[in-house]
Amino acid sequence: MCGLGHLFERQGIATTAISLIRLHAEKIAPPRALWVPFDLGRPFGAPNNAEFQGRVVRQALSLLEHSNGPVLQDFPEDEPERASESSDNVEPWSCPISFARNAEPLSGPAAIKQTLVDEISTMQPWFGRALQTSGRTTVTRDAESMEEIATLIASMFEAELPSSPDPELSLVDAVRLAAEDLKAFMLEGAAAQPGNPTPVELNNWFWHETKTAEIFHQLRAICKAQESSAMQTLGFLLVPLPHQRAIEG
Amino acid sequence: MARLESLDESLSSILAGLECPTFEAGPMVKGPPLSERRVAIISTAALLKRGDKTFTLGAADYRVIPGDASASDLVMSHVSSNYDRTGFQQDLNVVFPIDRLRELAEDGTIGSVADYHYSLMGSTDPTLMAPAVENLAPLLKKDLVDAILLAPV
Repeated sequence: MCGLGHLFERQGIATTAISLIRLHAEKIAPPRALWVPFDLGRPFGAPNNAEFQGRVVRQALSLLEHSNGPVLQDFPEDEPERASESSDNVEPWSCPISFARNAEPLSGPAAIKQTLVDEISTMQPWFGRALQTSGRTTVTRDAESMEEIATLIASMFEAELPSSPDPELSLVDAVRLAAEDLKAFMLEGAAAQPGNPTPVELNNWFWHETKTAEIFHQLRAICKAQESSAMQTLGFLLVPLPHQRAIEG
Repeated sequence: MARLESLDESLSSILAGLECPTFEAGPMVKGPPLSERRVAIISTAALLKRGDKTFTLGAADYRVIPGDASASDLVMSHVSSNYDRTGFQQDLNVVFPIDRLRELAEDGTIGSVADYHYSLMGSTDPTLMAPAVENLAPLLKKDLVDAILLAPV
């Protein structure tokens, strides 16, 4: 992001950048940057907090008044504490509906597809509630198409890898986008349930309590074992680093 | 928080060791007072309008985000899974603060909001994005943009 500051200024347009990793802004030294101490993925801070976001945008834009630099400022506020992080009296969120994992690892494409379909079906009413409440979803496909994701992911567990279901996408990108859509579907649904979960609670729930994530872990191992470097990259991308487990072999 | 020391060690060590490109610093572009500036957002969150071509591994191209696109029109196709997406799922402005810009234009803090904004994918080496930037600059200037807010993810 900071590199783009240099590139656009060379084209004659003034820039001001948000920086999430201060070390990178120090190294790249863009013309103007505001470092913010927020979670990765949240460059303007808290969702549904227009006042706070407005302060971030205002300070970033105020750097445009500088014509000598580089200028690197720090935003002075942390993201406002979220409800269940700010009080010891609030019970931590846990997903009210059970996604308990089997004791035995899932195996075989048919069982994997059925497991994904079951979790999609369980979350469907909550996803529908989220959509109704917010009027938007970040899932890129229709809710009716979610079973196609289950079919594609399950097909990755066949003896031979499938061909891409989309002629415009490689299999790697098709699977990656399908996995992101399924994760977004589950997280948006879970966030609509009672209890005002924090991002950490939501992500921990998904990665440690759903069978969908268990299948993502298994799929990661399959991808990492492939000869194709693109497929190995997919394995790396499927599971966030903090939730990755060692793969044997 | 995005302080390296507070991130998971597996992620912070990669981020700390990431090779950053160097750029020869030129003179900073000057402009009118903020209250007269026309501002565009350039996001590297791999945003796109629903139905547009998704970003793929290594993509260095861009997507057009019309200023009047509704929040429900915009989705994300970034390759990285190593950041939190729940904020974006709840509120577009966490990543793409278009409503905040409109408010700043209404109260006179900035002059106006561009008609078009743009998105790239931040995991790609920024030096590979130079051709995209060369294509975008004339588009931005035609839109009379004289200030860019660069938004990572």
